[in-house]
Amino acid sequence: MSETIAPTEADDNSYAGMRSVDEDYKLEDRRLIDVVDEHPDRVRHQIVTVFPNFVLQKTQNAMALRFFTPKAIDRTHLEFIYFGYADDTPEMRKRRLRHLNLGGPAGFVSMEDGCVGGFVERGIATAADDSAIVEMGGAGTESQATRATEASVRGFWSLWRQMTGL
Amino acid sequence: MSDLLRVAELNAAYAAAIDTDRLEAWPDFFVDDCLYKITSAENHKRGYSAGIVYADSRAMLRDRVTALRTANIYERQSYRHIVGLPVIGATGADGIAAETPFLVARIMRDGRTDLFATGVYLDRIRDERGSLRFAERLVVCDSGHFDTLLAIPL
Repeated sequence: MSETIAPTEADDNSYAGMRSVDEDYKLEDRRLIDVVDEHPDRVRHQIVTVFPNFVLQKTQNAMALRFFTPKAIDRTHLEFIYFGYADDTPEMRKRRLRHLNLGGPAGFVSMEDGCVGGFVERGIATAADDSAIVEMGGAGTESQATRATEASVRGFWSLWRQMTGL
Repeated sequence: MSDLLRVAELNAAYAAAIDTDRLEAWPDFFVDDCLYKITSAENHKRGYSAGIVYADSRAMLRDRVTALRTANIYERQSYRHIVGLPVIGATGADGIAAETPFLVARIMRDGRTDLFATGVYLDRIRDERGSLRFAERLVVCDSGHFDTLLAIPL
């Protein structure tokens, strides 16, 4: 599980000094990031892998089920089902629709992910006889103070292997 | 000039702005309180409101251009829009209704060209002091499958 808790002003310095931080960058229409703490837990972004090909996602107030279907060695289909609550107000429904802009193929947040994945896949194909491994945040599954870690991913697959006996 | 010609001219200018990388001009084709949405034919038919892109103000369109120019990292690419003739519908309180088929090829920086998207623009077009602008532009793509990356607007 990967999650981001909405920071308070006092503790919001986690991105200080990073290349992507630009204090002068402002949205003209701030409704893109107008978030309601609807499940009052301050979680702004959470992606939970429930099954290797099934993920639950919450990005601000956009909620989605995502299914992965491998189609070929270089091709995977990813299906998004966005949903809200039957008793959402029209304002809440619009808010969820606006927050969809953060994810998916045209998503402000996810656009780079698709691009980088493409770079890596093409790079790997040129070195078919070589292998490399990057251990982001080490090789263990313990919780860490930094978000630059894949401990949660390793934890998921460790449990998966135990449960399936693979 | 007939509505058909005026809408065809608007569509031609819209496509040229995107294809020649004048994205800063793109929001100006819309009214302030516009709706721009990219969706699939199946989702549209079922009445689903979600979109790959969903912008309900011109300011949101400008924010998207700013993000593409200064924040997002993606492979250099361009589009070629081939836009068909519009079918003009009824003129109502929110302007002229028009449906225009389109085909977009995407040219990647390594020279690869793909048929990227086909579909229809479902538009409501308003006359603002003699200039036609989109009050609503629903980009309804024929296929429900989209590439991993849809950076430039359709």
